[in-house]
Amino acid sequence: MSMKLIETVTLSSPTLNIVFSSIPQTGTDLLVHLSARSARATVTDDVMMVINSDTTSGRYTMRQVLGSGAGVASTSNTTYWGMYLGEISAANSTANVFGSVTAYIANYAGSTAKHAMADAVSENNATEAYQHLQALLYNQTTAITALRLTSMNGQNFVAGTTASLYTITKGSDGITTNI
Amino acid sequence: MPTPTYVPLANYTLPSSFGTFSFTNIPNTYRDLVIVTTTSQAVAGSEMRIRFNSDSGSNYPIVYAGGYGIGTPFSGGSTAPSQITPSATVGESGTMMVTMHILDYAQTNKHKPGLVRSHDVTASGLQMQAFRWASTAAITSVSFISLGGSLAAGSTFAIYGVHA
Repeated sequence: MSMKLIETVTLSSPTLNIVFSSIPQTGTDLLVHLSARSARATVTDDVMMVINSDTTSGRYTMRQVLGSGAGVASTSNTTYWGMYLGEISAANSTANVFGSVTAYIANYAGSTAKHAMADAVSENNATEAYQHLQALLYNQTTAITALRLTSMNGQNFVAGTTASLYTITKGSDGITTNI
Repeated sequence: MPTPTYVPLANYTLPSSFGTFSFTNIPNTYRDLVIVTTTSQAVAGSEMRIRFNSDSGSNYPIVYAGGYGIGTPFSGGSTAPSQITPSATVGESGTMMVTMHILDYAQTNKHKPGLVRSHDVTASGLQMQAFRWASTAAITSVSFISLGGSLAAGSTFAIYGVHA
C-alpha cells in the first residue's frame, strides 16, 4: 500500500499548534488533510505550516489564486515564516462549520528544495467565504522531519479540529516501464 | 484488508537530460491514475507537454484558470490542443511541480477526463486545468515531452494506480 496514514490528531480542547514530529523518512511525498476552525474573532483565520521548526523569513515562497465569491485575485509573498496554506473558518463564521485544507509536499525526504501545493476553503453560510489555490516552496534542502500547523495570528484551533498526515511512497509494479 | 490506495506503478529520476520521458505498459487493472512530477528544463524557456498513447492529434480539449502571484488571474479554454501543457506561461523557469489525476483511464466506452495542477513558484505561477482526452482507447502510456529543449537531470516522475 503506497498511501499510509502516519498520524491523526483530533483536538479535544483549544490548541495553538498541531505538530507532526519524527516523520518517517521512508516515503516519497507527504499529504496533509486539515479540518479546522479557529477561535479568532473574525470570519476567517490564516493557516501556516512550519517545516522543521524553521520560521526564518525568506525561506518560504507563496503564489496563490484566491476567490471570495465576489472576486478573484492572485498574490505572492516571499517573507512568510512558514508555508501559507490559506484561510479556514473562524469564530464569526457560521456555527459548527469548519474549514478544509489539503497540502501535498513532493519529495519531502530528498535533498532538494521542497515544492508543495495546497487547497483551502473557509466554509460559511454567508457571502464571505474564501477558496485558495497555493503554489509553495521551502528553499532549504534538508529532509522534512516535522510539520507544525498553526494560526498566522496566534489563535487557537477549536476542539473538533482534525489533522491527518499521510506518506505516499513511489515504487514499481514490475509491469509499467520507463523509457 | 482494506483496498490499497495509490498503488505505486513506476517511478524514475532522470540521470541526465532527456527530450522525452514515458511511462509505458500501464496495466488496465485500476480505476484512476495519479501522476506526480517535479521537472525542470535543461534549456530555459522550454516547456513540458504531456500526451497519451503517443497521440499528437487535436484531441486534448481543456479549460484552465490560474495566476502569477501578481496582476489579474487568468482563465480560458481551447477545444483542439494536441497535448496537455501544464505550465502557466509560455516557457518554464525553475522547477515545476505537476499533479495529474486521470479518471477511468482504462475504460473503452468513454473519453478520458482529468485534472491537472501545476506550479512553478519561481516564475510561472500556478494553474489548474480540466482536460478530456478525446479517445475511447485505454491509456497505456503517458509521455512527457520537452518542447524546445530537454527535461533536466534530476527531474522526477511517479505514477500510481487507484482502485475503484
